[in-house]
Amino acid sequence: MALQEQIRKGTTEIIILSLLADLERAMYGYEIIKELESRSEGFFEFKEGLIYPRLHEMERQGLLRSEWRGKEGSRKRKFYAITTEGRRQLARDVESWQAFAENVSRLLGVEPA
Amino acid sequence: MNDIDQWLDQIRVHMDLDSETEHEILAEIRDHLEEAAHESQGLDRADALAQAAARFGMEEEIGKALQATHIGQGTAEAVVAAALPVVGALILRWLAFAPDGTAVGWPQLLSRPAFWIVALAVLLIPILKFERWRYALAAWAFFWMLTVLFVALPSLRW
Repeated sequence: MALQEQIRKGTTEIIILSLLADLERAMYGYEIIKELESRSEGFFEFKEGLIYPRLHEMERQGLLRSEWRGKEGSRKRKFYAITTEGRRQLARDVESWQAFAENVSRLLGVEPA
Repeated sequence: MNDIDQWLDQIRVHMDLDSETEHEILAEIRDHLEEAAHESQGLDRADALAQAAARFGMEEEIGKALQATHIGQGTAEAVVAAALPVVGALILRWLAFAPDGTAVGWPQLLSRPAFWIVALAVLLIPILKFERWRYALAAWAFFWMLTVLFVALPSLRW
């Protein structure tokens, strides 16, 4: 597996949490994917269906909560919002990421972005 | 059956979950594909859906990943939903019987704060923790059935 693919897989959770915390509103799966693609200028492009197992797992862990919205008889849509535990996890992950990026950059002899 | 139904069925064959969970998962995927197809411009519906499905990923990979995420969730909830009222009822057994083995009546039982703490715990724990509210209500109904049996049939001594 290419390094970029491994990093992308390993950072999906923190990026979803960051997006939901940043926008301060609930979003549905397709909307999350499109926003990630847009913000990363295409870097964060992946098989769209694989975001759902990740969202469901994050919900199971208590990092997200979901809610079906839509009128009776019309199509309903599942929205995800970050929880208090999700915000705590995000803070921990951002700290870990900063330490990781700084250390790898130092080992590689490059300036952290 | 349209193209989306056929495609969703191919995901479904890789899942073996309770019907409500599968229904919710597939409804979410359907919504995704419908919107993705709707945003494809210049294509007819069949081509737009095919393109959306291709971007979505392989049915087997997605189905197996969803199965791995959800497996056991409903079962675990059902086990706790069954065990919790039994634990609550065992506590009630202690509350409902005096040390000499005589049972208290409804008025005495209902006047004890401990009874309501147990009753509320048996209701609130599943409601707050379970994904399926029907498990919570089933657990609570089971709890009340045991409670009524305890008080109404003290001669059984449980």
